[in-house]
Amino acid sequence: MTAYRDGDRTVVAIPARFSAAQEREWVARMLERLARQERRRRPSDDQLMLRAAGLSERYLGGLARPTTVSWATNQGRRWGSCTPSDGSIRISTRVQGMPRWVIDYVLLHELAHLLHSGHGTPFWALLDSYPHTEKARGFLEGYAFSRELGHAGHELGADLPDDERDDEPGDDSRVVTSTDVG
Amino acid sequence: MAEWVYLLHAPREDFAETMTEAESAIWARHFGWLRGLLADGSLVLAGPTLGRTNTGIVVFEAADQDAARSVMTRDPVLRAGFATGELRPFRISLLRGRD
Repeated sequence: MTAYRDGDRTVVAIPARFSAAQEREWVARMLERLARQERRRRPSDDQLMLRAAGLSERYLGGLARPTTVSWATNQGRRWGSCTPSDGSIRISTRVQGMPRWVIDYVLLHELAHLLHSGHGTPFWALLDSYPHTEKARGFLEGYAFSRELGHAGHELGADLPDDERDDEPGDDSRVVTSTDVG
Repeated sequence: MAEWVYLLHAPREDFAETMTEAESAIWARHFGWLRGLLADGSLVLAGPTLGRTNTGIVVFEAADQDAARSVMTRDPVLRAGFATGELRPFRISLLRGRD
């Protein structure tokens, strides 16, 4: 089963064999799941700060202590930046809507820069323990490169599954639409 | 937009079963790279053949052959020289959900 936004509609695909009661139950469940996924992909500044603190604790031994973590629209081609002298971190709004493991990588990258300024071996060693570093770096390269080629894709995150998503069994042979975009 | 396929020839038989740590890291990056193309909309489908011969298949859109070739050569496993690539023009004649 899948659920995604299509403009101002929400599309939920469920198996054709479902009864009306099952349809009600699963549409509600899928809408909630979609909303949850979107909250993860578009966290507020406060949530970003909390995520950063959690990532620092888990992967950097709590050594990186940012003073502020916020979304920024002025990052140009960068995914994020940090100012070690005042401990501030800015994350590009281009990252909004990307899978959680990509957002977390960008956060972790900037957090690590609070400890090491360059991109040498000691810097990358800090990111070694995060299991999605290579995958996330590949994602950002692929995304940026596709953009450069002018592919100009669809609404980011609309139908891109998070790895954390627990897939439901069943064939997507009936589509239910809802205008409730939560 | 024109359609293309590139085949990614693994360095040996039983590759999926015998990947080294370095190869796993590059293939993780390759997977992320494809997810990035998917997010921007240029990737149509990707996946490996299973069994003893693991050939990667990547179907994607690009404006012309130069753009298509640049997509393939930017694939992290090709850039790192871990596999060989083979690009061909492609046409998606039938697609479930579309046709």
